[in-house]
Amino acid sequence: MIGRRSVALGATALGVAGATRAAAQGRSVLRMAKTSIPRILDPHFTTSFTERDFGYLVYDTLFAVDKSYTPKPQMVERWEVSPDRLAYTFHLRPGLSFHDGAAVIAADCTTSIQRWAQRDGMGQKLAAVTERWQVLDDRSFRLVLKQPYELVLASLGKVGASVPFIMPERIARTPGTEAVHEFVGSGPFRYDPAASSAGVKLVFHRHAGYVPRAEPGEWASGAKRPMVDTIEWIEFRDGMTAVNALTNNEIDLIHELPHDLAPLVEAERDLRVMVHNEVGQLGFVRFNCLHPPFDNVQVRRAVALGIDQRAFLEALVGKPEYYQVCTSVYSCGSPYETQQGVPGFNLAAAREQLRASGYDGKPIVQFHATNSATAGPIGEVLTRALRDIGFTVDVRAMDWSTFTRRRLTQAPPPEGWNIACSTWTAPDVMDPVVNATLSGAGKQAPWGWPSVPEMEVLRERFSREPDAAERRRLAAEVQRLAYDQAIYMPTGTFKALAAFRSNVTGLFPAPALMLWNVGKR
Amino acid sequence: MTAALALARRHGALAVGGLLLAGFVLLALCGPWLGGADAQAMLPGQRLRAPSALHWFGSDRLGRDVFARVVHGSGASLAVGLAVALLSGLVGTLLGLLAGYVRWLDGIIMRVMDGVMAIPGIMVAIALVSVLDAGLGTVIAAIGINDIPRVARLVRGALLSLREEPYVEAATMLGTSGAGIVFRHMLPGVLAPLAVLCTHIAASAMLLEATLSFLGLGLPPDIPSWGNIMADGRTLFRVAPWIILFPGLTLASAVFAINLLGDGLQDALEARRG
Amino acid sequence: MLRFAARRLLAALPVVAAVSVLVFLFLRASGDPAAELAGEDATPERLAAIRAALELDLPVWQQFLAWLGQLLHGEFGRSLISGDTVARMVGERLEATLSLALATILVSVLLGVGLGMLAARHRGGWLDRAVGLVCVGGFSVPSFVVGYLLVWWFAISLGWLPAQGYVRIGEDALEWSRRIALPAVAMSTVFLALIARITRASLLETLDQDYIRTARALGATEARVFLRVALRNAAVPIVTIIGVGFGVVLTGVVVTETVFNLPGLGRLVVEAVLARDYPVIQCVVLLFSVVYVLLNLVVDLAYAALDPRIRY
Repeated sequence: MIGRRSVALGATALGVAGATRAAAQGRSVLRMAKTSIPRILDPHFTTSFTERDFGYLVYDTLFAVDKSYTPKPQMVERWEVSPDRLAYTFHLRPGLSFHDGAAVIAADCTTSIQRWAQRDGMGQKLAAVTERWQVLDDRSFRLVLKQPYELVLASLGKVGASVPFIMPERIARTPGTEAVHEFVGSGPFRYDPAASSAGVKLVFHRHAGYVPRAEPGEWASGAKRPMVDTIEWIEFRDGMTAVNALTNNEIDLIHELPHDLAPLVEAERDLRVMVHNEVGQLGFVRFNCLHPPFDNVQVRRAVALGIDQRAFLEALVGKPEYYQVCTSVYSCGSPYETQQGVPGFNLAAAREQLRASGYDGKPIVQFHATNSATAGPIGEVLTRALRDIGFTVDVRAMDWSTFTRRRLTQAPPPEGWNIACSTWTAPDVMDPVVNATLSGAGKQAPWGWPSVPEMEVLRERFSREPDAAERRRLAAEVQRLAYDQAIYMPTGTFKALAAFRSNVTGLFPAPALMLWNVGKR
Repeated sequence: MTAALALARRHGALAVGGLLLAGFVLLALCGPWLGGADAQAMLPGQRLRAPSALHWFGSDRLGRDVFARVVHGSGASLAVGLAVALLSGLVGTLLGLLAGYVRWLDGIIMRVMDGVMAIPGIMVAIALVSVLDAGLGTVIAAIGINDIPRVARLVRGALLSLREEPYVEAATMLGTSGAGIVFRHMLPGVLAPLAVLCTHIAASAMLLEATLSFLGLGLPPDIPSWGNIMADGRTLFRVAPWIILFPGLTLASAVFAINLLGDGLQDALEARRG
Repeated sequence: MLRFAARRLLAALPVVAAVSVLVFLFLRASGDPAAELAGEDATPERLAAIRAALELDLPVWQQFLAWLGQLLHGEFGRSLISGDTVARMVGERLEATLSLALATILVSVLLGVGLGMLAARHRGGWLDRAVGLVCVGGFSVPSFVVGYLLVWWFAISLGWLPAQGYVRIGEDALEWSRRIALPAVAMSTVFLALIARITRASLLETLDQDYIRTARALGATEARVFLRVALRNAAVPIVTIIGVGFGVVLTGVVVTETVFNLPGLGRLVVEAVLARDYPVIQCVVLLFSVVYVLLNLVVDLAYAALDPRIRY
């Protein structure tokens, strides 16, 4: 405990020094616009993308992946795996401190990971094979497994929501079903609740006590240097308004600029556009496998044949630089990316397949979220595609919140649904286990509830397989089965853009909002 | 016919508004033939095209022809205006008549009306749309509920003053039944101001539909309306202004026509009374 | 007058109470935020756990009693989504909306009364008709279209004013007025039309009255009579607009706050309704209905003060 306090004092001293220096130089403020700002804030509690982004600013992680999805140590200095592969021992880097001044100790890490594991799909899988988490001393702790599990580092370094962020133990003791209301992390930026306003803007300050790694930064791995004193994350529901503000020098950066607005930004001399999230956002079509007609795999296959990703992407994005036809269920750029079992678009074959399937022409109910900027337009194109294949479609339009609620009902239509679409980001689907839409667990699977017991066997085998080449083979097998059973259909990848004023420096491609190493001239 | 012409000469607003509106109704009825192209057809590689000989009003972000959508959308937009005016007119009149004639109901009905008026209309509309599936019926109900109190108040107020009129008193004394007095003697006196109010309700309903669409809560994309075409292109105002401009102009002129009709009606009625 | 006010307030109390109960029941019947909180891969167990944590699994009447209990202690509860106190959330948003509403009323009264006077002065002439057309036009264009046009012209092309955002009046009054100017003008189109009409109508009515005719007959100049009448009558439309326009203000506020990215109550309430954040909606609805009742009372009292013929 003595060690903890002395580090705390050191951090406070550093904080004061940092603040004084910044004041002398004039504080740099990065004003960033995004369609929405997080409201819940607790990144363990929700899988929402905005909370993940908030988490990356405020919290740090034990491991973090680079752009090839290879887990790299982040808060961890070194680790050992026992020869029987049942025990992982981790040692923290020296000098890590929370924003309240306390040093990061082993108990903070073990408690945080266990809290995260209550909610996250990968976390639950890890928890299922965990014997215990064991604190060795202030800076070391050990994970003891019940059985070999090869996704330990991939889980701890996972970049898709929800991310296993480290919180102080006193906060991380809150049960995972309750959101925490105090946000203290050890990440590069400190959240300032007093200056923030719920639903309007969030304010963060440089964490002066942050000790970056020596390696160059890539995605969430390597050095994460806070380069500005303050970040203001401002909500702009209206993309047009955000572009106007950027043009007028009222903000510095727009994260996830709507694609159609890029020409406006390009036309201005002191504004820039870049493809910020290259691995991107992936649309997908989900079938309700509990009720006719999509309880019949033959009917699902007809849709699979009739989905032309190019048509979706062309309609949604238009500019080929900003989209990618991507038929791998693991997204493109994932180490498990494969072309195994891809049905390929063929409208004539789709119509023929539908005729042969015994579909009786009864209207199918499509749930449609009107006020979602991504799922909305995808749904509109889907309606069109379904009608082209030969379905009678009854579109039920509703707001996003209602959509998320009603898609969970397992009752038959019209109360329930037959078909609907939504989106993931690439890291959410990068392997067979993290991709929850691949679950074949029937009524225990996420909305859609496909029952393919063989799938669960394959995914389980994947998680235990130590050999990388064999893991890739299993992943290909999972994709083949997914397409054969038409569990769901990806509708293609669109890349997210960032627009910024030319005096913003160091913005780097990332699968989420990452603002370290980003400065302002 | 001659009488109508004479009326038109005397009340220009009434004539212009009526003619314009008749034009729009015709457009709505013949829309499916006039619009030609399928309003939902998504033409690949034809996104956000500026107005041209091929696309008179340009194309939207899914490559759909804006002209076809505006023409097809006139049906839904006018239907919203008409149905809301009818719904709130009928229900409001009924409640107003009850409140104005049945004394013990007056307090209850008008308190409920106060309650409805105390909740901002836009909130009622948003709440209703988010509870029910978004569709023509939902949007009409959501907008219509707000206007019922306005109608009820008007009818009740007019009725209270009419009750003191000598001819109503005479009818009561002669033993005409309650309903008879209300429908035969009192209702006709209320009809004129009611018609004027209903035109204003229709006009504002069409605008409110556009507002709901703006918030993503209007008619589903399956049913094009002037409001949801505009809402669809609202963030592209500086990239593809035609998506907002043409349905906006169409909506504005239709609302303009209805308002003109209402004003003309009012003037005509005032002139007759004066 | 005091007795009248007290009676009106007492009569309004049931209205407010009824509105709260209705909204409460209606909303709770419309589903809860648990599914959205549970996320893309939600399971029934997760949903149940979240409902239990937020006490959404209790019977509706128990939830209502709990809320009532809080209210009696002067507490409005916490947001189901962010966990912030509702009082803070509403408090933070009040200023922007109030600023917008007041600035809108100011702009529309100044312009509206002016136009109305102009129309009445030139009754039947082409100026009267022109004002009439402007008014009908103001009613006919959706306010977000007006907003986008104003931003494009004044903020982007000319660069005179900021395109969006809000600055508290206490921080920088000049910047506050620059930020509020465009939204206020965008919102005032409807009111301007309304006020101009009412001004014109009430002026014309008054000009026909006996005492005016007498004044004219006694040799008062036309201009003097007109100005006198106009000024005295200007107050009536202002008061009317505040009474009638409450609902319209709120509709306008929702749209305008989105277009200009103002952190106001309109945006808060739309978000809360969409997210089923009950405590926030209930608080705002309660606030609105109390304001509505008070506003109507003030309007009636103001009428009495302005027009000596009205007595309560």
